Amino acid sequence: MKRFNHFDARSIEEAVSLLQEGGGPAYVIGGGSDLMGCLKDNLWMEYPERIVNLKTIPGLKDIREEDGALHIGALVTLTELAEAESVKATWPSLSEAARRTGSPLLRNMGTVAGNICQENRCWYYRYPDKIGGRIDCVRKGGKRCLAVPGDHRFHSIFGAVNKCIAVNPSDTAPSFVALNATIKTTKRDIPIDQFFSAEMGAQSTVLDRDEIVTEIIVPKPEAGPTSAFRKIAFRQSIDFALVNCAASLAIVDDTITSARVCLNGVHNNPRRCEATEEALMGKKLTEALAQEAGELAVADAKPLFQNGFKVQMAKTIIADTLMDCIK
Amino acid sequence: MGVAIFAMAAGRPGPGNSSEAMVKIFPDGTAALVCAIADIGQGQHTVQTQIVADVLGLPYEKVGIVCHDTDSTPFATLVAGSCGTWIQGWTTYGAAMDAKKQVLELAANKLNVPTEDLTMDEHGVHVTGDHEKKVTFSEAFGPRGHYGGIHEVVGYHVHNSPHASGHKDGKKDQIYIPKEKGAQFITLDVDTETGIISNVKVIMAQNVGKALNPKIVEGQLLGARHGIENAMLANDCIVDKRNGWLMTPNWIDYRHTTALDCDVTPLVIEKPGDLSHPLGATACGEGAACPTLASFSNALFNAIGVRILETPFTPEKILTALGKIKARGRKE
Repeated sequence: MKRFNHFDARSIEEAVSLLQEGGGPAYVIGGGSDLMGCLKDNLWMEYPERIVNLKTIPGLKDIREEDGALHIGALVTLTELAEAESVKATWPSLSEAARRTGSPLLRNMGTVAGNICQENRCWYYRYPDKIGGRIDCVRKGGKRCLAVPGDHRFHSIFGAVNKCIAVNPSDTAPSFVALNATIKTTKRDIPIDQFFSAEMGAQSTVLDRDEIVTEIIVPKPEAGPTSAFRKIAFRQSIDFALVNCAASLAIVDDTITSARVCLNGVHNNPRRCEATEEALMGKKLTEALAQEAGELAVADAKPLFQNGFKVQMAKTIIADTLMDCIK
Repeated sequence: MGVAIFAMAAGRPGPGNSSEAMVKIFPDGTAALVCAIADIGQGQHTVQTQIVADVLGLPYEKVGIVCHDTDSTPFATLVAGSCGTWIQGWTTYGAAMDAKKQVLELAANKLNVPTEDLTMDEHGVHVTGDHEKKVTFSEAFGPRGHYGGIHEVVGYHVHNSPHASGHKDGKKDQIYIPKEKGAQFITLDVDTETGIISNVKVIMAQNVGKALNPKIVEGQLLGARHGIENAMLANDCIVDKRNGWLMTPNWIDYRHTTALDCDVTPLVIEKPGDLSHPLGATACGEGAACPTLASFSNALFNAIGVRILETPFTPEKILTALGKIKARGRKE
């Protein structure tokens, strides 16, 4: 790892001004579990000369309910989110997603904002620099994607964005999408549906370089805590998801009045399943309807040579997650 | 559930597997084993000092080991081929016996009895059956000073495998090879919609002759876990064949099981009496990895009714075998 200067910011304003100052590229650090890996493997085209530490800023570690919504500070760790009783009771999918992320060590270090802002995963993109030199794939400014003709067993099943098929690996992201969260930054409030943007090049979100997430606001479900999260991974812990899914339903008199369903680990961005949501509206949730909803979500899937199995996983996980909502 | 049994010939009993060791006994009743046997977690240092303590009749705490570098210690065989205890065990036994013989001779001179009538224990040497007629180690060694006396007794042994007792019917061309033998039982759950295997429970049973240190033997049997990793976690070395890149160069992509994924229960079966080892131990180590793929494959077959012949048993292969997805490369 190369040298960089480390600054402890004392306030959000100071952190922003440190990012804006001249003197080479700068990045923020929260838990650092993703950032440090990226720096060690030398992923980026420009290596940061300055790292701005957010952990020294007070007031970013609160979980509170206010005006009928959940306000999660950017530096709340995944452990704190998973263990918060209020979240378990009202937003079970979020609690479960945080609990299923990584290992206890990573959950103790990793922050919720870091989890939704993490870099996409692809073993060509993240190939360690120290083994034979970095692989310049399209995401790193190279000419072509190496995964498409190479080994893409864990990659996107919904096609490429800017020729890249790296997947968004976040576990909490689909939960925030399903719960229709809003991301509050130092510049604006961003609806979660517009937050993820692999279209903008080698980054997974729409954030500007001098923009910092300060809070995530999750509205209270309209008709009770009917949300659920599921994850398929090789191991019960540690692993990134092969496919994960979060669903949030509003059910009035056995009829679904609103539905938001999101898959992740299958595409460059968390993938909202709009066809599934439409099919669920105004109906009673049954096993058969859940199966049909799963099929609809993958109707437009374009699996590659090696990853057809993820399509089967995706439709199964949607059906299972929907049934979990009414358990 | 799946079951597999196995027998595995261990080690290289032929010429070339020689080993040497030195055992020192000191006048204060302590002893030291000097040998180059390596220990990177297999427990050989513990087991070899146990052997010395057992032969000399000393408590384990009174036996040390000197194993600093190969310049200062006699040559030792490698701890591999499941034969560390089997081959080096002979050598250590021989060296301890040599040292013991010398101390008994010293004591025999003092007590005026033949060495065959003497017994050694932690207090010194006494006449067998008569604890009153004894000498301490210090008395047996005699007076010591700057200019003379016996300060230590050194026993030495070179062991060329196989030992004479390993020759079948005394014929040198028919060599006994220690065998690992045992059985493994696996239960598991398969999600037939996603192809994910979970809740793997393994019972690894092995006949180990005499378990010199049962806890260490159990540790060896837990090696069955590595077979499980190869079977279910797709933790093989995935290579980009076009460019020759290893795509799994880290612990994220090259997976190991955690306690949540796989539970191995070791079952150590002791049947002492293996003539090829002075204490009745036989080979144990690699064998635990032997039956795993077979028993795992059998468990999978019993669960889903389809035989999959190629490891690892990935979700993709399971789903293809079940007809849930189309095999690779087949057009719709």
